[in-house]
Amino acid sequence: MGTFTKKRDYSVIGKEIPRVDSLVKVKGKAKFVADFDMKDMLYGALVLSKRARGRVKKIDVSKASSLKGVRAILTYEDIPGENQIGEVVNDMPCLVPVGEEVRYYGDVISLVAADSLEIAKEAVKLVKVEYEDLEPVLTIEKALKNEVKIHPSGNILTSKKIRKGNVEKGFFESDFVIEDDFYAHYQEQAYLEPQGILSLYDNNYGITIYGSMQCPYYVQEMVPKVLGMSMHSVRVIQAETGGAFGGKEDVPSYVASQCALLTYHTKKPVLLVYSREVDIQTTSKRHPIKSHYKLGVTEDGKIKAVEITAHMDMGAYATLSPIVMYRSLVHAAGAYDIENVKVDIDGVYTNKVPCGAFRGFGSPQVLFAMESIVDEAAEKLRMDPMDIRLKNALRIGSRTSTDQLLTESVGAVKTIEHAMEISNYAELKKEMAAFNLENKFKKRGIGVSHIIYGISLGAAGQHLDAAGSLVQVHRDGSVNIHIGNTEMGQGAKTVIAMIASEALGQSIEKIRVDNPDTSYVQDSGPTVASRATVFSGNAVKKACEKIKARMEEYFSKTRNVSVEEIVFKNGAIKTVDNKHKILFDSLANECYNSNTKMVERGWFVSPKLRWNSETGLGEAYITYAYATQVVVAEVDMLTGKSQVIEAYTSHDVGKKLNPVGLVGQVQGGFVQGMGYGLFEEIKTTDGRITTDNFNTYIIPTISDIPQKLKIDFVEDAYSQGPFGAKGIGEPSLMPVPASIANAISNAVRKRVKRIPATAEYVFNIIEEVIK
Amino acid sequence: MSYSFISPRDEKELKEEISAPGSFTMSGGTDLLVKIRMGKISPQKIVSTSKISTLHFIDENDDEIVIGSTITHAELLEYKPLREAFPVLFDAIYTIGSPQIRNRGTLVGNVMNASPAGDGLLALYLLDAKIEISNGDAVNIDEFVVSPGRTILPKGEYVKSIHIPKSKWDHHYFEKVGQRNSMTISIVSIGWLIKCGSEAIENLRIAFGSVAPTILRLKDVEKFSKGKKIDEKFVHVVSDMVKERVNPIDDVRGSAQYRKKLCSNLMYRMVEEGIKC
Ligand SMILES: Cc1cc2nc3c(=O)[nH]c(=O)nc-3n(C[C@H](O)[C@H](O)[C@H](O)COP(=O)(O)OP(=O)(O)OC[C@H]3O[C@@H](n4cnc5c(N)ncnc54)[C@H](O)[C@@H]3O)c2cc1C
Repeated sequence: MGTFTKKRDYSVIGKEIPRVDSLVKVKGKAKFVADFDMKDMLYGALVLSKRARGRVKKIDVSKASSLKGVRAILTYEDIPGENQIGEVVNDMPCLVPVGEEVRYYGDVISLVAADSLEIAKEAVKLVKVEYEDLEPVLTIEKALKNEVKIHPSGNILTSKKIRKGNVEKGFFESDFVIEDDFYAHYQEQAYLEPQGILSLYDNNYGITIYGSMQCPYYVQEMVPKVLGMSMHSVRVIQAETGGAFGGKEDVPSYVASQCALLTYHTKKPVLLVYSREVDIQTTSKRHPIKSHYKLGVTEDGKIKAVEITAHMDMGAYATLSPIVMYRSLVHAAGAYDIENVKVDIDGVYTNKVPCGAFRGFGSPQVLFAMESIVDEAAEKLRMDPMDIRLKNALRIGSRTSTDQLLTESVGAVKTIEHAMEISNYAELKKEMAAFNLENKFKKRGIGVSHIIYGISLGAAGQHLDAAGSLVQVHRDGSVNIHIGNTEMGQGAKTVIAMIASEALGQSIEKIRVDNPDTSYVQDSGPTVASRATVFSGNAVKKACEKIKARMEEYFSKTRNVSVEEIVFKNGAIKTVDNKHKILFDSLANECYNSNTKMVERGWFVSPKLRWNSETGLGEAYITYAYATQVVVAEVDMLTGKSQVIEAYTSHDVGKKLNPVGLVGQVQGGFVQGMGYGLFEEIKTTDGRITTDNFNTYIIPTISDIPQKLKIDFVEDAYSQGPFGAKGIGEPSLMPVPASIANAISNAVRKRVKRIPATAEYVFNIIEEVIK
Repeated sequence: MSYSFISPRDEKELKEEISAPGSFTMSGGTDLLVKIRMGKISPQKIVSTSKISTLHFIDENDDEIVIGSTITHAELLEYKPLREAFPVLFDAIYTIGSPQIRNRGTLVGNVMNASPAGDGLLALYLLDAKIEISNGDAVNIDEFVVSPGRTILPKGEYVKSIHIPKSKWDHHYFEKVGQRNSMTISIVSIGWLIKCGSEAIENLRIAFGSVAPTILRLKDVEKFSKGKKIDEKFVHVVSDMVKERVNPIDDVRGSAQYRKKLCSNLMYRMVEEGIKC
């Protein structure tokens, strides 16, 4: 007996709605931090470590201080509060003290504020830092030896594991056991707008921070700590944010602390905007992960066991690594129903840039490895890559690699079926074979990947997994919505406005979603983990429903009709028999005149998850998104260069709320994942990043995008999501590096074991093949 | 980092302005401004040639096409006779940067930047172009460019134009191997011109970019090719010769090893393209 759901007729949800914030942005009217200008405003700049590892012996600011126009030069001695900071572990100095070690090229030693940016930069050059050179640890291998300790506690910060079933038994029952090593490199978020903060001082209030950020509440927690103030004296308002991709999760807390320190000491507004070079050089990246996979399969393609060891390069400080690791752990064994799973992951310190959050949070690296070894298994069994995935896919009643029982919204199999259908898979294989027969110097391959993605923060982040809203309907019917999650280009404001419009019955043009301000809404957790639509969406829906109920009650009383007869839709209220009709705006006015409360709060808390961190078993996430992707790549056998020719991707999103936004996310996720899979590469010399601008750090342009990118959605509703929706922000990127790597492997008949699979890398693996 | 900016109206004024110490001539500025931002140069004065009408021209006669120093890449691409006379130059310019860069950047700027990766420059090497200097001298391109970023242009002089002699070819080829498809600097670039005789190569010119301090014309390979038939055996031999003659370095875009092998492999494009001679 299935559950009965009334067929709903939505007026906004599921419709193609233009972005509510697009016009001001396209016209260049939206103000980003770097656009801010204020009376007496100073410009901030940073004195950075020029060593990967060394001891600071002396900081001489005398020359710099005497420069005309310099207003402040601060060192660790000027920090009124705590200098040791960190989002999870307090292992990072805000400013490196004399006598202590710098741990990467980019550690901050001193802060400068001056009348102009030119003067500030000039002063930075005049600050003299003396170091005692120390031997840096630049590789995971060297770090594991623990001969040189980066932090007193040693080079492995934390280890996480999964112990499900018995892998030894699983391998014994397998017909084939295959093993391989994989490596996934760094990726830079490459947001359009670099990090930037403006801080203000006010005698009555304290410090106000405007900034480009994902997580205003992180900032509101860290800045008072560094300044030695209480939280009510620091107000954080998100400015327009030009892309983030995880790179503005915790980093703005550090940028804001630096900027606020300068305001604290000068009592003046300070603008601190990172140059692209400083941004790439010092701020967090996707973690490099080295992994070893061992997979056991039976002759008919059933995966019996998987054993994984992985090391992630955290860089010099923990920042968000322990939480990133949790996601790597849960996603390491992929989207399959496997009885025996053993995973061990270590987070390793090195004297390099600290790694942290990036769209996918530690999972594309392991999904790439898992999807590669599954492909190897298929090859060994002479099985089609789709068949082996279908055979092992998760279904209702299956258990994930952490032994979580799946009870609803599992569209995994459907995404496989859809991907095969939209790509005309059987035909595609024939076309490819024909192409390869005809061409000697160009070879094509088909790559498949199938992924799972946990929505929201999961068991490890439950303490943060709640969100609030404040909704106010004004006398003229216009609506203000305050939430705690941010718009950073992904379309959050639009989907929130749509949810509010649907829930209130007001037309979307009359609804304004304001940028988060910590003084309006309680800590709503970070805007990460594809959670904003589900969390803020639910919180807004709840608040709107409360106001709407009150308006309904008022209408019902004054018109003498029953509540059941009233329909709120697109800015008008009617009775079903059409006898009574009024505009939403007029009814709002009537409600005001009768002293009705027209402001409400909403609060959504994540369903509780049971999790055992000793065994790595339990309910890891509230729900999961699934996707299957097929790509065709062409490899130039003379140069090693790969081109994605066509791509087909099917995503289970629960419910399509905003189809335009969804497609945008999938397109963007595809291109960003393709850059990671093919050519985005951070290179370093002695720990210093040498690809610190977009002339050397290569991201895709419009000419790299495949001619054909077909996008499909599976709607398998999630009961706790607003109108059934799950997130899409990150799932959109997850299958991409894996499917591209598999396509290249398929084309050159050699396994790609590293991403990005740059032309030079592919060239090296095919070299023997050519002549 | 402050400097003055001047736009002379004629060449006489230009000459006066650029003779001052710390002054830099600017055409499109797509190299110059990048260098200023990076702190590689600190000009006291920037002298723009953009308003000088006598430098903004394309002339054509039976023997040559002459390109004035303020002609942009975009203007060249739109100039029909160029594509007909020098398709290899057209193809090379077409790969420079993006539409925005081509709207500002000039061929003269590309020459003066004297980068081993210069795409327009590679085509000019293949075409035996001459650089006309304000002192009246006309210098062969391979003598004009000395090393990365350096030319023989005397201080106080400027480039007036580029002369490209007309010549007839049966096949032309240009390719830039970059890290992505556009807006990319070459890991290796290659160009060739082939004139076929009755049964074999009558004349061949070949040049590589990003494998030596300047664009590299392989004159001995050119000599060797005369009278040879283009077949797999020929390509195989030439491909080995190329490998020995290029002298690349490791840099952020690729290793020397990779570059060497690329040059050698790229000769197989002759087979892939089905060039018969
Ligand atoms: C994003 C980007 C992408 C690029 N992509 C490519 C590419 O794909 N391929 C490529 O080859 N290049 C590329 N470039 C480099 C550049 O665009 C070209 O070299 C361009 O042709 C330079 O022309 P310009 O007129 O802008 O030169 P400018 O910057 O104006 O000048 C370059 C040099 O020439 C000197 N100069 C200018 N005019 C004269 C004159 N009349 N007499 C004497 N000296 C003069 C200047 O002093 C300077 O030293 C790129 C640049 C950027 C910023």
